[in-house]
Amino acid sequence: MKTKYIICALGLAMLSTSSCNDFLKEDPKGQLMTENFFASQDELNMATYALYRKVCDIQVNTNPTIPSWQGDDLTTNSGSNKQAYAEVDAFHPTDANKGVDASWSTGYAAIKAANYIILNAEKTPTTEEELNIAIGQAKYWRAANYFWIVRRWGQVPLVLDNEINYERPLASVEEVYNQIVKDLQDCVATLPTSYSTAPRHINGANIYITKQAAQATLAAVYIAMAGWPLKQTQYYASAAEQAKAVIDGVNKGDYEYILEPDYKNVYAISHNYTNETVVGINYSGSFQWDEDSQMTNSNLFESLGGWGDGWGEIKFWKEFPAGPRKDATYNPKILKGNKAGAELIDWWDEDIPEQHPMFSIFSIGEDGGDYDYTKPANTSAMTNDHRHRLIRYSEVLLWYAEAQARADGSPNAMAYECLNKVRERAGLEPLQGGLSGEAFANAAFQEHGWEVCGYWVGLVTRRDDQMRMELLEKTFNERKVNAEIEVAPGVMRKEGVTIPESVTWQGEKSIYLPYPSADTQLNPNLKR
Amino acid sequence: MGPVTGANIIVKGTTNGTISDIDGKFALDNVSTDAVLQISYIGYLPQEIEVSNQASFNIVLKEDSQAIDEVVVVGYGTVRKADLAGSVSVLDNKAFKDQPITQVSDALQGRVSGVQAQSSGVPGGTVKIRVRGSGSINRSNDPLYVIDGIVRESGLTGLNPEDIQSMQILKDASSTAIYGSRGANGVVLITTKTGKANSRQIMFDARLGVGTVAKRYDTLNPYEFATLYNTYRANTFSSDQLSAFQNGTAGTDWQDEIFQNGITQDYRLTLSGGSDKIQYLVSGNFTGEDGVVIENNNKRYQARANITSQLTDWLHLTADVNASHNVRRSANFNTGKDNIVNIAMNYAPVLGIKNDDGTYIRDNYSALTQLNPIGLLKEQMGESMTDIVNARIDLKFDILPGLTFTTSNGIDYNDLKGYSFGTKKVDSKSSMGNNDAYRMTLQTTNNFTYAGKWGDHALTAAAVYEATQSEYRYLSVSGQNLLTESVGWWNANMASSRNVDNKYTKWGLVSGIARVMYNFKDRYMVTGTLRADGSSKFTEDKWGWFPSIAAAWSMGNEPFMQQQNVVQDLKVRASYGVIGSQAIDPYETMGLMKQELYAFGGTSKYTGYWVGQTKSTSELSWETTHQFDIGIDFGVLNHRLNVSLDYFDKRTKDGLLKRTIPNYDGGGSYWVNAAEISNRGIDFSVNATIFDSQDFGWNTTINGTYLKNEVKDLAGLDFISGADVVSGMIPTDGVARIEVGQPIGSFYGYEWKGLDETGHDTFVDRNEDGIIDSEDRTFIGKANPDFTLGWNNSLRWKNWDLNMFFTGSFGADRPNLVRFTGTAMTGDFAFVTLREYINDNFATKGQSARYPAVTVAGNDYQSASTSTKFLESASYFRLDNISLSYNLPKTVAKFADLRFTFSCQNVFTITGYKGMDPAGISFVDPGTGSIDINDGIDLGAYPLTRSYTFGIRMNF
Repeated sequence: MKTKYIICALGLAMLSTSSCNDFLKEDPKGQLMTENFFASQDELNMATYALYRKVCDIQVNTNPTIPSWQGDDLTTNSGSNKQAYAEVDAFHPTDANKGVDASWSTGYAAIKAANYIILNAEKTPTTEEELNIAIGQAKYWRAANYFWIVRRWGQVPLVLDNEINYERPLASVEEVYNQIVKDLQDCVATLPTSYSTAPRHINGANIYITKQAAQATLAAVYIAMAGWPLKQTQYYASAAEQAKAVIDGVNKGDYEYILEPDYKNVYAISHNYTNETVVGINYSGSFQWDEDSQMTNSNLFESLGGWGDGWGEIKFWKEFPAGPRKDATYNPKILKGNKAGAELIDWWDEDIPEQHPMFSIFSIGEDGGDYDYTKPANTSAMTNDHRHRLIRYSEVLLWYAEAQARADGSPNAMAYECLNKVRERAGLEPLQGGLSGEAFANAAFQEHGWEVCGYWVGLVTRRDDQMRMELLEKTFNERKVNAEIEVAPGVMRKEGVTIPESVTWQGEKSIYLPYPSADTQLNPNLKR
Repeated sequence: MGPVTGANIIVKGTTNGTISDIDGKFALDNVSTDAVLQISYIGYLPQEIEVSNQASFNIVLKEDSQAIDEVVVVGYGTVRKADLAGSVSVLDNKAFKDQPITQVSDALQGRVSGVQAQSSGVPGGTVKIRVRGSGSINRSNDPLYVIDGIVRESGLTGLNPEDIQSMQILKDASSTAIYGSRGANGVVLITTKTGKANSRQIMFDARLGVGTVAKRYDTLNPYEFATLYNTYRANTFSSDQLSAFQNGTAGTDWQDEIFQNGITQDYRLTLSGGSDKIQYLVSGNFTGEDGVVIENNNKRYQARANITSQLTDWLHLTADVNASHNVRRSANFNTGKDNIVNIAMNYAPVLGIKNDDGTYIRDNYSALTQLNPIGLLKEQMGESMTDIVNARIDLKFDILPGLTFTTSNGIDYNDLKGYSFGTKKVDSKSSMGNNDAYRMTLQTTNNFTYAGKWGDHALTAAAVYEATQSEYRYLSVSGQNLLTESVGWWNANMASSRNVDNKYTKWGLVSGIARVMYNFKDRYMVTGTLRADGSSKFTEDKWGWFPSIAAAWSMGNEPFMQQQNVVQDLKVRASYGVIGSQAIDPYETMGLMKQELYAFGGTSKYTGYWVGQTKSTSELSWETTHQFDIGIDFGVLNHRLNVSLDYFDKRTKDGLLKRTIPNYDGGGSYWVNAAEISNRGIDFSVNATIFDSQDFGWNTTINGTYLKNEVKDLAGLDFISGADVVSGMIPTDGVARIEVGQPIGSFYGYEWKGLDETGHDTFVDRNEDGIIDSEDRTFIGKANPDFTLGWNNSLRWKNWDLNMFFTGSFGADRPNLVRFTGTAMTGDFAFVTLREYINDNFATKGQSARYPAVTVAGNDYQSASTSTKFLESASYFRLDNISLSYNLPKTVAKFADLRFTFSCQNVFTITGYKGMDPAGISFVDPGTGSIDINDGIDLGAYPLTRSYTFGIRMNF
């Protein structure tokens, strides 16, 4: 009988000695905590990699780029599942439009990752050079994302911290631009001009942002500030100055940028890491539906087995001057049924239900290599490695040309040289001297539109050009009328995506996107 | 009931015993006059008879189901049913003995009032069980499973239904509060069988079933499809092709290809026996299911050993080990575009299956973005393997009269391995994946219980100390672009690019529990419980207190009630208590950094970290649920009709809710204690013995649950949107929405008005602004039924038994998105495949048609997808099971008692629902969002299976 008391007593003693507090302590093995982070160069690198991952997310699929469809270069299927694109194309996106939501949220997520580095990186015990590189990347991508956001929404919350605030006020457009300029100026002042090791430098291209990449971006920002809505025209001179610094560096052999001699290689997968790209985002087809460029089928029409997200607008296509650039931007002919050996037909042939010009920028060949329109496009891969060329060197040349002419009132020799380089590669005659500043600047402006036509991932798309030069209203009115256009002798075609009767031009409200409903519900300050 | 064959008769304290023969007769020699005979027989109460001078006995056995002394297992103890003050449903194994269930959870469907069980139907697949509704928005509302006192994190998977003695479902706060922070969703207590003293049993049970798909979609044949397609895109199909389709030499019926006759085998063996001192039970089970969808199967190998022993007069031992090995292959039946049934239903019938080079043909007419369904099933099926071991040792000390100390110590080990493979024959890239998850939960429960009785007073008091710890370890590797596909998933180094991931979590729970049950004159009962739980999952507020009180009045035992014989056993009960939920994952309040991987365009990932899309919430604490219950039990017609009725009001306060972070601040969410959810309703059960004569008996049980769920408060949030479960096809904020005043699982969408004169879908412009946008949506239906019903009938006639089990559900709706994808032209499902379209579209029928013409331009399909056009009532009434059994006694069969059973499941369903199954659901992938928010969307459920099962049961 005694034994049982002993056992019971032992049991109780065991229980009372096991400490409660230790038992209830949390031990997150394998996890990292913010308090201890930035303790080494490797941790600084990790923060930068995470930032780049968030940057990758801003264009991994077409959704966040849907605002580009507002431009007069792009349209889409009026039916199918392209509603979100069509709404933007016809100037009436709702606050629930998936593109409105995606571009807002992916952009701000990247900004949050950037803010985290900017606010905390200084803690890292490392060299000043390394700190500059990391903070420079963060400031650059914060600036780039605000640049998109301010052009798409105008007044927006200017978030520079990592707090959660349900009452953030809207900052003015000017405040946002000032922050962008400040960040980019810091980048220009502190970033190196080249890198040597992966992932900063891959396949002969600088992946991390360099000083000259920041300068090129600053040129684009200044041109935007000189146009609508700020119209601070003094910035044309600043834009020209920044672009010139880049071009001079290239001419001296300090900077790596080139113009691809053949336009067909500009977007070619075989030239994925071309140094024509000034700023790019890397995508990897090895990680499907994860960090790949999911636009491989976006050009090929649905009737041919593609997704047909972005179609060429008929008027823009018609006015686009013929040459290798046009042939590399649109399919010169369409392979019937996308089947090997089939007939090559025009897009207005009645066998093509889309009845629109078809872009070929994102298409690839069946073997995954460069696309040849006389052969079938790949339809099974759906995604690939395509590096998104946010800024190309040809754009820097055009920005210089336009900004110089607008700033000084007449184009100088360098401006002619820049513009003509781009024209010649596109198979166009060079412009002869003697043009007025206005005429020359407009020529450069138009040239940029053709250069980036249909490339909805660019930092400055045709839509952005139209906005700063106040041309969106014209596009709106033309679409309202939706006149037939003669696309071939006697063949008349018109747009399929039309602006509903009830939608009228409302200036700023028609230009900017609505604030996404997900956030307007949380913060009542988000209203126009 | 006639003579009992095979009853055990033993002289107490000896090994001298025998078994009754065909005629129920027995004889024993060498029995002294002071001896006591013990008579036992399964299903009957054991009896002891003093021999004295008698030479022959006429013994009448009493059935064990006599309610009066029935003992109900409650948390940390047992109680006489008559003394029970709380609300507990008991499900005895007899209730489902002739229904060929293979999973224990299936037994719960329709059989217990207050419990809603929905099965995906997938072999070895998910079951959703809710006890009195859903109280939590973002987290699991699954009940707590406790097997013989040990919490089972592995749920009901890997249990042999044959091992179940009974299930108790604790519903009200009085009975669940003893489980404190884990009791808010109800508790399912399972008591397993043990060996019985002086009774041996050898039982073998074999079942073989054949299943067929009960209902298919009526799809277009190749000729109809091609003809219709030619009206959309002229000359796509030539006249040669058309005639080939017409005479059946080309084309594929995808449903024919993916459906098959399923085979289910189930073998169970139970051996038990023992003496006064030691009893044992050993059981084994093999279940093999081949589903009605090809390549879908599930196998379970299970064994259990239980030993109980009175080691000394003061120490009793129970040791139990249950191990199971489960291997499962299952296609994707989740809600999503790539649900295999949805793909097959949408694949163009004009296609063949394979190309000449052996690759599978992709659909470029209809299901544009989906892989070939046959290819997916035949080449790309993954496999999962789960090993579960549960073991426990209980030691019970009789310290003083009435006072016992019991220590129960158990482990719940769960090892899950998953494998996946993708081939270029089907997809554009090959891929592989292996993952391995280990979870070990340890529990020790130490229970002092005192039971005493003085005159009219009876008291049972318990004090319990319990500690639980659970550890989870995970490792996975996945790769893409295999250098050679022949290695399948077995060589990760063959992948050109790889991802690896590993993870560790651990949580602990320490609890102190006290309970007092007091009973005065068997008429007035009071039960009070208190539990304190300390959880590692919270940072500052680790401790929570969970009290409850219940009172009952057994009016039937009052002297004045003895004067009448209209009502028997009348009892009224009331209870109130507080229960909790700590259903967040470990470390979730800590705001840990988030890992991001990025390959910078290459083939191997760099590891990155950032602050992520959440924040630290150290002040987070327990979610509490306050539940009030009032109930009444009574019998009439001399106990022939028994009724039990409960009203409950369950209010979740400080509900754990994920508060959305504005996207401009990076998006994501963090936990707050904010939601308030109400679940109110009535559950009842009625049991009637309609006939009970020598040769014929009919017993019927009806149970029903009426439930009203309502969100009361969302801490200032206007609403919470459901997940975008089918991206691009429905609005990004989903079709479900949670809003104050609405139930969880409400559907939010457009009101469809029919077609306009141009053949476009039109919708009600609710805000009358001339355009149809997100502002025009409203609440159009809900996923959960108002009323669910189960009706069980047992009839016997001589040696025949007939069981008919009906279930019903009323008031639920489902967005039938398979019907949408089959009739709409969207980016993913670009053409029509359902036959109902042909005679009901604008081209053939004009404006009164249901569907637009295939040539329509600019139709708003996205709004249509989440409109009343595709929302259908999912009310149904079903004959779930019918089984006929014949008993052949050992006297005739010579070697054993035999029971032959033939049964049919899902015999018929009365419903207006157009999909495959109004009760079937394609569950939302838990990664997408909470199952209770996004529930009930039909994107291709596992097909309802009508199965015919033959079983034989042998008692040797």
